Amino acid sequence: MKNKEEDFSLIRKVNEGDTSAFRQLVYLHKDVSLSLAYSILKDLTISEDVIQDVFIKVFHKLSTFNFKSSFSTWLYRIVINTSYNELKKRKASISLDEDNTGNLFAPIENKDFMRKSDQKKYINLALKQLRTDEALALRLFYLCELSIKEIEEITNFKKSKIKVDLHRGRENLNFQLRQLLGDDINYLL
Amino acid sequence: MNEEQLKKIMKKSSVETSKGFINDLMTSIEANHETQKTSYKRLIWLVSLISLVTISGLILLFMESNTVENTYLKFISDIPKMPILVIVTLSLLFGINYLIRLNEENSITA
Repeated sequence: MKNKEEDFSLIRKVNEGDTSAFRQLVYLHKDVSLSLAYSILKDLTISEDVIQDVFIKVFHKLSTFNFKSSFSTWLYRIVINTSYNELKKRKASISLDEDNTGNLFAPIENKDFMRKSDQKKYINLALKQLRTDEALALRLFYLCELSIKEIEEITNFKKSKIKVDLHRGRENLNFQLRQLLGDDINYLL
Repeated sequence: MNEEQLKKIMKKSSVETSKGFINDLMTSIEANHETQKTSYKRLIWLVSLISLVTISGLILLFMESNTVENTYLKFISDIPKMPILVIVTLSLLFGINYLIRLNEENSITA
């Protein structure tokens, strides 16, 4: 979780008219927000458009933020709802071929070394093979470091469903990574 | 794969926005805000104009209804004039006040 107090102080500044504070707030949360939207939409360009809309919405609604829950919880809820709405609008799930993930199936030439960007590509490709709810649960739990209770609050999913999604997500991610990388999975660890 | 390894892998899964993301966003917000500001101003002018015409029309209508005897307006003379005028005027004033407040709130968040 990001620093709650830092977020609150930035929000107060934005509400007093300091636009540069909003820039900082966006900087702190943009990548995690994009990762969450990407879990649902599975397309980077669309996800970026969605989070741009989310941040515009957030900017206009920031004066209504009540400082009771953390800003990230509030933001992630908006990101997830907007992404699911976008997914519904698009109806069909986005095909893997449409994404600009590059040549993911290129063999790893240097077995002793896998670049950070390649690691990210392989992990994201494996995550894309997972069901949306599983990938989302994994990202919220491990990337955002949220508790199951917080995930429940953000997604409105039941506790049992989140636990099942996490369990299946772990197993499926492991399976997908092994399918993609075989023994080279060790380069990720 | 244990929990720690999974956590390590998931941390690497974070995707990044394009380079100009924040600048584009801030430009969109500013453009959006300017459009909203203009539309609020236009709305206030429009509502004020409509209010003025409505109030003037009502006053004229009430005055006419006292002098014209044999027209369809005659039934208006039976309606209590002052309460209606007061209610309509107050509603319009509240409406304008609401719009002005919205406009002020909007300029604070900008």
